[in-house]
Amino acid sequence: MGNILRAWARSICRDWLFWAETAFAAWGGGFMVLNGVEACREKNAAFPWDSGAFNCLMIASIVLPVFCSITLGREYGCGGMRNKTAVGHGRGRVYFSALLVSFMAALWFAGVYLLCYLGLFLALAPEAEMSREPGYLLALAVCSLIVLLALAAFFTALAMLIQSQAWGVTIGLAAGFLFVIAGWFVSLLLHTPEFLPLYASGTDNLSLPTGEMTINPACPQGAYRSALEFFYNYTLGGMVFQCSSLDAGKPWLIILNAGVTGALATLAGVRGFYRKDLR
Amino acid sequence: MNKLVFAGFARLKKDLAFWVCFWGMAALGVYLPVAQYFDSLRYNTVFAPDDLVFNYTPFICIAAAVFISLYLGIDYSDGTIRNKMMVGRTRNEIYMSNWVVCVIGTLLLCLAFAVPATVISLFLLGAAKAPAMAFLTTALLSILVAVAVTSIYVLVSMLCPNKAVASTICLIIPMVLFVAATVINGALMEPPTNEGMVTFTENGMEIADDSVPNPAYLTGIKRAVYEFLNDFLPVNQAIQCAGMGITNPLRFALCDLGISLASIFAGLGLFARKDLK
Repeated sequence: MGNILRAWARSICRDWLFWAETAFAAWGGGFMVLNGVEACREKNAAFPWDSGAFNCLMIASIVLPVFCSITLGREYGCGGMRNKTAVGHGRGRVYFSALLVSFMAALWFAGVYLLCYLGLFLALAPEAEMSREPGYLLALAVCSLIVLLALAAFFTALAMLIQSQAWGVTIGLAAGFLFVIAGWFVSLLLHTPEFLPLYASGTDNLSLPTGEMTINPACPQGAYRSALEFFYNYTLGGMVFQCSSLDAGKPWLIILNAGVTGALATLAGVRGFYRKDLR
Repeated sequence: MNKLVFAGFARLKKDLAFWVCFWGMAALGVYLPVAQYFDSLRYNTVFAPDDLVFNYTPFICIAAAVFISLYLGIDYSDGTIRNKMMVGRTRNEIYMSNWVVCVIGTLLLCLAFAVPATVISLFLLGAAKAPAMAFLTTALLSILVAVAVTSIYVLVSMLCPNKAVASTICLIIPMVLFVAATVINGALMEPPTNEGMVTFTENGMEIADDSVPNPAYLTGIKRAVYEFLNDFLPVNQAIQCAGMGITNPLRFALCDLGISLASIFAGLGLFARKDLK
């Protein structure tokens, strides 16, 4: 497997798309800092340095499907997949080398994002503080690592099973954007306040709070809320958003669920790859 | 060119990407009015079909990207572009025939949403409230938006021989534009003043201080630029169409025509020089 990994490393280093994705991850880190610092300066508030640090997962959700579908999927088009099995590498070895490459790429993109984010933060707002406890941030860092692995497993499975690069990148990108948007939307719904203050009309068209509260009809209840919580805790979209927004109530649950998701995606990918006709 | 267009339609009928996008838009056209109806029951509010009929416009920016990049990419991968040239077709004919087929395909995707959305929302939510002229104007402008985004995606797909890279670029474009639309809309929707503080006294009375100017409110040249971008960028236009809140229809239409013509001429010029390996 060492030979396969070395071959991957050589081909990736010469790939312009990999460096374009790296540049995008770097831009993402810079953009988060500039946007956050500017917004907080307008509101005269402090911008804690940890508030955007884990947004590397959102960047990975967008960049990884492109990397996996095009870089890994290129092996189908140029016949590299068939050649590797022809010289004696087992399908399992080929698959796991692709998975390892995806995971290393995910770590690379996240690392580039963090480097640019923290570097620019130190330059613009060196006096910024943390908004959470160091222990919680460490737990989130471990969660993010496992979620990155789960994302790499998911997109590797897609890339290895979908022979067409174009279809692979379309489905992968759509899935990546869906994770981010769905995670944001579910978080919005779950954080809707359960009660709203009652207002009465006063003088000069001014609505005045009466001091009483009423049930907010927009707050999800019952089975609907349970379904949303299931999605938020057990799907990649929810896990990505929980880590990115520092909203992980139970980090151990994220580690467990991300691990299970990654394992299931890998199992499905390996089984499908073993049965696949490598034309 | 007629034969190229008819051949394009024959291929469109059997294109998987087109039918996936078509049924996806149809499913959205059914889901959104039903969801809106249940929301109106839950919140005891009245929604009108006006809020729904043109909701296809933001979605078409993504659906068209998927369909066009995959549909036109096959021409390169199968070598049919070179075959078309070998039988005597000019590059301009090939480009324009693909553009015509993609525009018709995109408009069919719009109809796939609009028809069920209109029927179901009229049935569940009652009659529309907006005047007929507003409907007609919004419909025409939403068609122009669809044509503008189609022109952009055709330009990218015809110049990029790698289907996967073309799909990536075509999908990234609307996502970047959505982020820009969020930023621009957020900035334009800031109120000029912030409400003053409401405080309680010992007697329970509330005293409101004077409103203070909102530092985030855009003024001057910056506001003019943001308003222009709101009428120029396709996704911003799509959001205006979806809410039937078009502020400047003439500028809107001219921007769309400008984008379409610029994309077509740029595409024709660059495609004429392209090496079709």
